Amino acid sequence: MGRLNGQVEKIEATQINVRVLQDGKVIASVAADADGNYQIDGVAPGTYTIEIAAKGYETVSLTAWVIADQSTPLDRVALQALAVPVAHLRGFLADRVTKQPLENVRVQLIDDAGNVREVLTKATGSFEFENLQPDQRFTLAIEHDGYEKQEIAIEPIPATETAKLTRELVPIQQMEQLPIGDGLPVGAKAPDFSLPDGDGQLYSLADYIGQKRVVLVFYRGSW
Amino acid sequence: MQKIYGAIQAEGAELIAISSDTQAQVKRTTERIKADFPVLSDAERKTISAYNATDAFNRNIARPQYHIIDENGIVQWKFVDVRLAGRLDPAKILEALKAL
Repeated sequence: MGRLNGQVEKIEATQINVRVLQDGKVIASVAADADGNYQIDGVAPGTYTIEIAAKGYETVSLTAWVIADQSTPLDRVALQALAVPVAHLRGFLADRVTKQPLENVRVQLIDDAGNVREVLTKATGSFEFENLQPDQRFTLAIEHDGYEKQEIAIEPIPATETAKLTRELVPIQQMEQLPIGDGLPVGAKAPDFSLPDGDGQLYSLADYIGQKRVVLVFYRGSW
Repeated sequence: MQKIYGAIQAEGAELIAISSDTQAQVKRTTERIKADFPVLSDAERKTISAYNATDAFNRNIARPQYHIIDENGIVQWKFVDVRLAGRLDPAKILEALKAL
């Protein structure tokens, strides 16, 4: 494994994000420290694109060749302020059950034209998409091993504003099997159903999801 | 159940009852207890089975129990009656809905 390190000219009160991409996929994401230094350890040998981004500044891309057991220093960069107004999106992901922040979750932002940008969440569970075109709709897609996939519609964000979003990911149950008749464990995903009432009208759990809580009662019936 | 249905709705929840009764039986039950909430027929017992609610001693019927499912479709609370022919105590549901 190798290491990448570099320096960015610091910007007052602005976080600088450093992302390492391989074949268009983000494999690591860190923030530069207060002096503008960053370091990414445990990078497999190979060629990478390093994206250095900050809100309101032009993103700089560098190419890096990582060699095993060596440190690869990158050119010092200074980010230039963007001439056009832009919008930002900042989010935070946590585990629904443990409430703990989720690190290294791949988050994709897709615009109406189908262009995809992706980032990874940091150790704090946070992620940022800087410098988005204002007043445009996006879809946020979150996919992470062991969790249910989520797609979220992002309403247009006005120029210079940062939209904030907090989301909990639902762990896919490695279902703790309760003895027969004991129902589902708390935390389990409730299976959908579509069943008729006495008049043949169908009811589904899906009709209630996102709207209301449901008290589901099983009873013995008139056997 | 009909008695506490209003209280359940006041907590922002809906009530759904399911058994393995046929649609005709369910219709009679709905009329008998004057239920305003959906009483559903799971004659094939697919849903009862999916919720692991099959009675271990009589696999044709459900074992009495409640699941509270939140807006995200996750089971947040459950109560299974341990008495064989027992009736569920509806007050427990309200306590749980308030607490969650």
